[in-house]
Amino acid sequence: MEDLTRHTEVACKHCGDPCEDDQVVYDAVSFCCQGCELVYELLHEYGLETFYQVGETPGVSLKKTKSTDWEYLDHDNFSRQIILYKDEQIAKVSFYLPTIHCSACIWLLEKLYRLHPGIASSQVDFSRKEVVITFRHNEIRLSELVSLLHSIGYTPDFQNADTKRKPYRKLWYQIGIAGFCFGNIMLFSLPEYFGAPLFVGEGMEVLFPYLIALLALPVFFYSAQDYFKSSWAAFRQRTINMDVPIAMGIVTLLIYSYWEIFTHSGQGYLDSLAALVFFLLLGRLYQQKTYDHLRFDRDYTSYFPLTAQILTGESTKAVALAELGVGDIIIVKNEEIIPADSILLDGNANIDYSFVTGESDTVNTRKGQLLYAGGKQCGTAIRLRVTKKPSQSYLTKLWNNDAFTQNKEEYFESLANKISRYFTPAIIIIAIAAGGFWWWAGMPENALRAFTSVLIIACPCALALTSPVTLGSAIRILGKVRFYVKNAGVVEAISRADTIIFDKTGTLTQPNASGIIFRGKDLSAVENQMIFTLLSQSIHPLSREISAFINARMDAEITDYKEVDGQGLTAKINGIPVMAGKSDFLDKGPVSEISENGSAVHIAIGEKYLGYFELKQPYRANMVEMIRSLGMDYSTHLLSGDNEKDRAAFETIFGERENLHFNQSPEDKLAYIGRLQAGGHTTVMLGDGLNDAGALKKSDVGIAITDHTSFFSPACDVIMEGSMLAQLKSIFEFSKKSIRVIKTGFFISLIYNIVGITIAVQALLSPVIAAILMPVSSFTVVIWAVGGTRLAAKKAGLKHQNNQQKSWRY
Amino acid sequence: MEILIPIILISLLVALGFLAAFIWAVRSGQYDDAETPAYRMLFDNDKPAEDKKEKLSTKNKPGTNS
Repeated sequence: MEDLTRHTEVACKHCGDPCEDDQVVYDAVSFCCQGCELVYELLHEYGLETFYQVGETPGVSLKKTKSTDWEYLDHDNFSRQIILYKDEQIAKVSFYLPTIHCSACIWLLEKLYRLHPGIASSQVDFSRKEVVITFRHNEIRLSELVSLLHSIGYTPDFQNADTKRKPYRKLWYQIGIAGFCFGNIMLFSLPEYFGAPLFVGEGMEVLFPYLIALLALPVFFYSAQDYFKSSWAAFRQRTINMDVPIAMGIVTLLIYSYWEIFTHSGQGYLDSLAALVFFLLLGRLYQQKTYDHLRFDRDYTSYFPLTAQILTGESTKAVALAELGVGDIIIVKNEEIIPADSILLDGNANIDYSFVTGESDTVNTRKGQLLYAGGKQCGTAIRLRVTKKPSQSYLTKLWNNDAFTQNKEEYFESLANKISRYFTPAIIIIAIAAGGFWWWAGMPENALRAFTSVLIIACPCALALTSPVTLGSAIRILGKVRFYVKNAGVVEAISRADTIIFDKTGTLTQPNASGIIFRGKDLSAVENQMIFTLLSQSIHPLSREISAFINARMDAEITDYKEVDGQGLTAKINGIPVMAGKSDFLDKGPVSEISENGSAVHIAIGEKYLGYFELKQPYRANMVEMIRSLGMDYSTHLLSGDNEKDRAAFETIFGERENLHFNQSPEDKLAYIGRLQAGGHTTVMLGDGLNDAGALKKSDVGIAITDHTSFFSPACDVIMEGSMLAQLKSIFEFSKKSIRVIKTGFFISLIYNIVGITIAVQALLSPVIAAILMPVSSFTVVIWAVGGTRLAAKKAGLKHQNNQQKSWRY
Repeated sequence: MEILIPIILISLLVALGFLAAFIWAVRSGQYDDAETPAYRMLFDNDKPAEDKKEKLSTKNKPGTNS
């Protein structure tokens, strides 16, 4: 037990990780590993020690990086894909560096030119985690540049790079132009607002309307064009979306105003038109600004390596994965991923398939056996012969399923669209009825006026703003609790969900975390060896985990070995009886208080009770409470690729036996979601591995759990940080409340509409009323949307996780 | 009051100038990344002399990256 407290925490100067026993000391400063120390030394050598003042322990840990061969980058085939610009002397390249996380990273990466004279300059885009480097390619080759970045901890990620993506400049142009026209139209409308006696006869009343008519043109043809395109697309599919009434209103406004201006009967409502487009575009910008550094659409290719090491004769050569052919001999080193289904030729293959199948134990494979693509080798290098091309592997076949070609948005109808399906026909009917009434009453000029003013005032400015502003604000709030939503539709889908499906390995359990502690008297070396010898006889998972933990071999004679199912083991080792198992089995130890998500193995040697091993199954924090409380409102399911060893533990958490499924293949998971959906359920799937990729895609909402947002996560709708899983219920609660905020916002704008329409049908609408009513209703709705979501977050109990300095890091 | 007409036209031209400046700013990439410059401005300048020449030649203009 003392073992846990003995370490005094020393943080690495470079990366801030705790320094363990093997710490490195240089310049009287401690580092967690050799790599961090080397970077420190390098930065000092080039006079860049300010790095450590810009941020506190700003570096990237180099413990887990492995040496890689970047030679293939100099190959034209490859370099052409990533080089943005190249001439005789300089080249410009953009890299995606997932390890960028703080301001000191920006500082260091923009000082690269100090580290190598061949680098001219570099510029970081922090939110996208990208750096653009200009370098003289005669002085430094691309591969040298990449290995320089690698050596200071910023290894470019080529698989997930999306450096050619354009930012939304067009939206900015549209907003700028709409804003410019809006302001000037308002200015020229001022005389109209005040009845204009001041300027009559000065020529202004002739000039202003034409200026306004001119200024409205760019708004109509450029800034508003997306609304016309979208409603035209909806019209062709014979549906009505939110953009239809907007486009209808804009067209009516323009035609009616032009008619008034050119018949000299008034100035029209072009100020309202420009204001409408301007505010709508602002709402769109608010919603569109999402998470630039996250990639939601990854498939298996971004998990797989880019190249494979082919063995020809004595030498190895890196080839692109697509060029890998059947029969090639490849070498896979420690921690590398097997790129294609292949047969083991030699080497000690110990493959971790947890990301592919969900199986948590590594698989030891013998010579001649088949290894599947996607597994990770843990151990020394192995030699393989490829039997299938990477694209035809067992795993990658999953991507041929229909779920991957369907577009989810197509069959998902948003609340705003649903409402406008009733709203639009209702408005048209009211407009025609009002027009018809005045026509019938014998006042045709009032008829036209009433008809158009109903369409204008009901133009759902506020209605159309409610949904994007509320959802945009909700997305921001969710981002603060590390729940990154792909688009606004996802929030709506979550609010309607009734079924939640969990994956086990990596989702509910923490990956790579083993928690074995021995509680009791200190064990001597001999005792350790005896326990190891006993446990290594058994294939029970607990025995295997503990024996791997002790790992103390001895030569011993084992007699009277006996294993009682579900109870324990006993044997005589060198004549001394050794027992391991449940406390009743030993019938000696105290009844210990073991928490529900752990298990204990008690030990007795020579009839004497020594203590017990506590195995904390590395569940995520508060997982049990989270599932139990969700289980009250939702139907909860578990789909695991692992075997049934944890069934009993999960039955106590999930309650219902028929909702727990083990030994599920990726296809099984996908089909299971499909069956739930066919039963009329709206599903939320939480998973992390490639084996969940199909289910995540098929599910109405797919949430990928990851422990670091820059790690690989399969294609999904939401990327969620594993540490925030305990807040899942609050997040779902908040999504529901956000939709309620939208509905209330709709109600508010409906009241404005009723007031406006009442005036409009009487043919009394004047430009002043229109100019006041429209912005006031929009502002009310925007304030309600932003304030309402904040309040909803508070009520749902969403907590930001602010662990001091890390709060502003990604 | 006829003077108002040319003045109004001039004011429109001035406003157009600002619109042009905005479009130039977007085009040159100033709106692409609104976050990094906020951090960059907090860094101290390098010590002078030692790499002044280098800095001059490598100063990166915004917007040359697309």
